[in-house]
Amino acid sequence: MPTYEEEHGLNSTNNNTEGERPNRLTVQQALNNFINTPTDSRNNLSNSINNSINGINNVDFNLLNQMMNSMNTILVDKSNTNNGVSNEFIDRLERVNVKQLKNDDTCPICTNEYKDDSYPLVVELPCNSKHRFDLECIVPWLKINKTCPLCRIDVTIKKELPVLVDSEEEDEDWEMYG
Amino acid sequence: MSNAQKRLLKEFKKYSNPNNKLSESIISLTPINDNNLFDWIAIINPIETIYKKGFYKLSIKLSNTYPLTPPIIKFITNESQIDRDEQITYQIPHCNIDFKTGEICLDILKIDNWSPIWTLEYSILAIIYLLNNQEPNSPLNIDFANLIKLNDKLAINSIINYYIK
Repeated sequence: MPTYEEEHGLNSTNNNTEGERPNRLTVQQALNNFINTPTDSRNNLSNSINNSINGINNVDFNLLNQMMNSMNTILVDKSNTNNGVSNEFIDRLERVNVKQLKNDDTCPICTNEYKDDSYPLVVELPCNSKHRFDLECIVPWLKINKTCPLCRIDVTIKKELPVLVDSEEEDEDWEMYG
Repeated sequence: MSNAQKRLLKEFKKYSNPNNKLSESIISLTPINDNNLFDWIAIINPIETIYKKGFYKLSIKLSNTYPLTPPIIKFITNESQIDRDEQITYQIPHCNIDFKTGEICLDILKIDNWSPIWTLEYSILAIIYLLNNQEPNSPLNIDFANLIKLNDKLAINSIINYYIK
């Protein structure tokens, strides 16, 4: 007569208990392994943990403050970088010829006269040819903002297309003469 | 010398030049001491506003990123007894100024709306403009904002003048 287990296609209880044993063994083995690991490596681990805890106790508050401040500035920088213009945009800004500058023209950001510098690097923004700034002054601003300090217009909106068209026309010219 | 220091020195020279007149509402605008250009005091008498009888003191704190970041400007409300000036009114009821801390809620002094071409003088003038153009929909002083909303001029003026020395 078939047993209950055979009728239901189950393994016998014997097999089950045998199946459990290896499991218990593996747990035991893992424990043994941990206990038997060389004490050196375990000491290393606890030492390094202790060191880091002591390190925290020894840090003086000035240093901690400095770290917090620098972290804050990094965070501010990071959150702002997304809002600024690309480096290519800055490179493509229109330079203003020194001859076009009057003697008393000043940079609105630093309020210094351009001609104070014997070789002034002045750029104009695409929004208006009168919106001129020292390159040195406008770059840090444009890296965190896309707007013109004078009129708040997004400086990245215009310009892009005409520049592309120009380069295409140039290409065509070359082909015609080639 | 950092860019911020250069710019602040230039502003300092401009404001201390007797030939260059500041707005009549600005009585003084100077650094607290000559060694530190990042800490200024302004005294205002906002003659063209409903606060015209009062003299108010503002603290202006600047960071090394000025003028790329705005100055932090507050009305001084908690001057220590020793430094108190009898001429100055330390309580200013205004719906966009925190009555206890003197904090000012003004959009152009927030980093997103600031522009580096503005100077300390412009910033102070903007605050004086705010005195007569209260914005009760974003209040720091809710009780006073209610009076402004009700447009109860008698109550508004009485409260302002109650505190003025």
